[in-house]
Amino acid sequence: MALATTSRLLDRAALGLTVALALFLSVPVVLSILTGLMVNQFQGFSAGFSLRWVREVVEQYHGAILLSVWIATLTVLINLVLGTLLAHGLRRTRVQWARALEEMFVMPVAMPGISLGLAMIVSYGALGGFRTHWSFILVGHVLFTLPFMMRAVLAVMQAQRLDVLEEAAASLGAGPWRRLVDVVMPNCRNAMVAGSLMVFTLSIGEFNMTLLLHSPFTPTLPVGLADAYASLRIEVGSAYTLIFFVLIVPLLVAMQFLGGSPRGKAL
Amino acid sequence: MRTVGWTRVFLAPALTVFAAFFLVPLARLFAVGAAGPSGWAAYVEVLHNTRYLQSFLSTLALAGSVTICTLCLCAVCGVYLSRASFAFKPLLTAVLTLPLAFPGVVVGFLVIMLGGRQGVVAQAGQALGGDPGSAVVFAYSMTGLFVGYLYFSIPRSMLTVMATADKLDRDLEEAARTLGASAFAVARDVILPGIRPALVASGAICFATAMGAFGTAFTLATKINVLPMVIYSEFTLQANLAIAAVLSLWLGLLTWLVLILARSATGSAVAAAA
Amino acid sequence: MKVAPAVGAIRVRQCSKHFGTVKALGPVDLDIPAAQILVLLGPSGCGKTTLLRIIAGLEDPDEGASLSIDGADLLAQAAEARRFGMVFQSYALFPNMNVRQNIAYGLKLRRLKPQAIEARVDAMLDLVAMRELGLRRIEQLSGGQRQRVALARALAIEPRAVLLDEPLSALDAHLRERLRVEIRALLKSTGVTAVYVTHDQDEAMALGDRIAVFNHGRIEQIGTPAEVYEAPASAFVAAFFGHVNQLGDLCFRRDQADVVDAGRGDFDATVVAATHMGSYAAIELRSGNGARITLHRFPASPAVSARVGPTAALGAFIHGEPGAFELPVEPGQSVGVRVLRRIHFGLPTT
Repeated sequence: MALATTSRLLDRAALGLTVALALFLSVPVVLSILTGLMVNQFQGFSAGFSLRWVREVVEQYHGAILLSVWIATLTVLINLVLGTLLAHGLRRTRVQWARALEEMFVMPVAMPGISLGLAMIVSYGALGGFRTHWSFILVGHVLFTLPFMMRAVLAVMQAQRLDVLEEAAASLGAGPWRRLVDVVMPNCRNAMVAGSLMVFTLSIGEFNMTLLLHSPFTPTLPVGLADAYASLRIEVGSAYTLIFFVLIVPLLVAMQFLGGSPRGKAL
Repeated sequence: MRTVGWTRVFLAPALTVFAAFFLVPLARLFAVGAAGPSGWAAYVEVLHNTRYLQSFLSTLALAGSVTICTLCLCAVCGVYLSRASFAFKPLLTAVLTLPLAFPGVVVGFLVIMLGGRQGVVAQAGQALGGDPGSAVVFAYSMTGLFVGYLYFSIPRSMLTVMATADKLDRDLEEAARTLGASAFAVARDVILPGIRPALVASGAICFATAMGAFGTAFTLATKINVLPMVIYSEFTLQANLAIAAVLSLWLGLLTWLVLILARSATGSAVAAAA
Repeated sequence: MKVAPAVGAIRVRQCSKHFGTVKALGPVDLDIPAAQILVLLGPSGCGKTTLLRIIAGLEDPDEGASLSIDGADLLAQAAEARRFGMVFQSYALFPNMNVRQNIAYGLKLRRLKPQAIEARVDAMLDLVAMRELGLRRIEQLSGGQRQRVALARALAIEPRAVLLDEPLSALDAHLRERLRVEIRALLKSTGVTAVYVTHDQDEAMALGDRIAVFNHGRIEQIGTPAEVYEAPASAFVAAFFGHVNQLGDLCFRRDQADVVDAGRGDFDATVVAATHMGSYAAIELRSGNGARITLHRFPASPAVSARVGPTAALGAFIHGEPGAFELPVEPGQSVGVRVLRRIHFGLPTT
């Protein structure tokens, strides 16, 4: 049936509501993209297109943009290692402990980002070199995104088939490390890719924690965004947002393709 | 085959990083909370302070209303999208779920695009003959915050509802129909109870997220009185580290508890988004 | 206790259904008299469930079909207006309601007074002998109990007919045997017209007043259980009720033939294998032109008067004496086969 319910009226109403919601979500996005490409916001498109604002943003903020990409990449790589090892270890752990550990690792996601940032500053803020280095931010991002990689990989690892494959490998003489590398990891490739996309997206957009963790020497993309918005020049803010979309939308589309979606906190 | 030694090796790296950069800082934060003038009593005092209580309550009210509104909208649209098929359905679905990963700051900006001084609503009002001095500007108030929170809550809940709606047992609906149920009765008596677990789970996540949300409020204005903003201003503007710490920990505890409740109430499969 | 009005004659004419380009149901004509139990029997994918769902209103037939009850057109009515109680294969009991609430649901929709609803639910629970389980939640019930609640729920609304879609297929064999007797008794006592879909021939024989045998969307034969068994219209129908040996146009069932001396039967064959099966001996043979024949030979088989071969054990077997566990034949032995009853196809469908 093409209809969702057996009542034409209910169907039409639901469709209307859905379309209205879609407009609500998409119109501002489209507007901001367009504004970023306009010559002058007040004149609209009658004044023509221009990449001037985009260029201005790139000039002013390219450091922040590059740093964000750099941190996101490193976060992905580190979490691939940590997350895969962690998930594999959890598989081998007794169920009650495994669940408790899982809950524990989720805590950084459950807590507000600013609390985490505060905690980091309070503990390590005094270490000047560390405080103003990008690794300060990196650490926060790793903690915040680790549970997503862990979950993605763990879900696949817990499939029955993998257990049997490991047993077969063991009967042929493979030890725990070899089994992980030769049997488990190759079969988790999809999950690792999905997890990586998720982690990258979350890291690029992370703001709350990063606002506290960054320093004038280590601005990131979202921090730059907030700065641009505060500048009151709406074209600049729009252009910067446009760059952000260009970075993030392909990732989101790729993730929907793979069947997963980022469920991180969009704060 | 499961030698404990190797298990520890596998768990060690993540545990070390976690302990060093989360557990330790958390403990320190806890200590810092008690380093203010009232010492450990600060954790209790804060609960009595009217200013903090007020901001806590308004945050609660905001998070609550956003949750209820989101759930109502997503229940209808999520079930509809799961069932209906029409030409542009994939497009509609994509539009409704893509904003998932937008950070709060971006959402704040989008709210300004909608409801700022030059926003869509203001311009539409003017086009309809409104007086320029009283343009409808809602972005910089709780309304704007509400709209912004709705913006990032809807995609997430929509996904959960859709996933659950896909798995609903159609036989139940057909059985209800053969017993004489109209489309509305089927929705009320069969479909709604069926998606209830998804609604509870995503409602809890929505609530916890809204409680701890910061970026949107930050973009819209620093004078909006929600708890995360209070924490931020205590820290940056007042340099009141102890109070900021205390408030952070209370807020963190609350959101963590809500999420745990959601996971245990409905099974982790549905609440996996936390 | 009569549950339904004494009317309920359903008429189906030229009913067919395509799903895309796939034809699920070829034009079908059917008459179901009031108060009769008609079984739709066939292998999976043969269209029987499709027809049931069309009658229920859950699917629409292709153009040109007509469906009516007591002369009133049904196709114009939506499923929720047709008042056919339906029992699903998965029972489809509402998990958020207990037993009483499930049974009462159709009545609640009709806005009956609460006392009337309670009285009727009580009556239904008594009918299926589940009075004490009224407040149980669905997940606490066994398969057989759920089946009864589903039936009670369908009957509660005083339906014009009851439609059952393989209601016993989810249960184990001995429960199925018990319940099919109960279901027939229940349906007969309430006098309601019933259309029952199954793929199990034993169920069809035990339950149906008449059986409609489906094959690839068409009805090959409609008849009483005796008719479809004794006088099958085609090889397909015959084979549905048990293995049929075919040798050219000589067809017979496994228990309707016997082994005799070579040359003394209707044809000769060589024994391939002979096995004890407990209550009978299974004998596999190959005929002269390579056809495989299976016989089930029971001790004290009727009407065997021929004297057979030198084996003493065979003699004991034929005369039904104790010690009948010796096999009457050996692999490789050449024997004759005498057919005791032939099957003739091609009798008109009713």
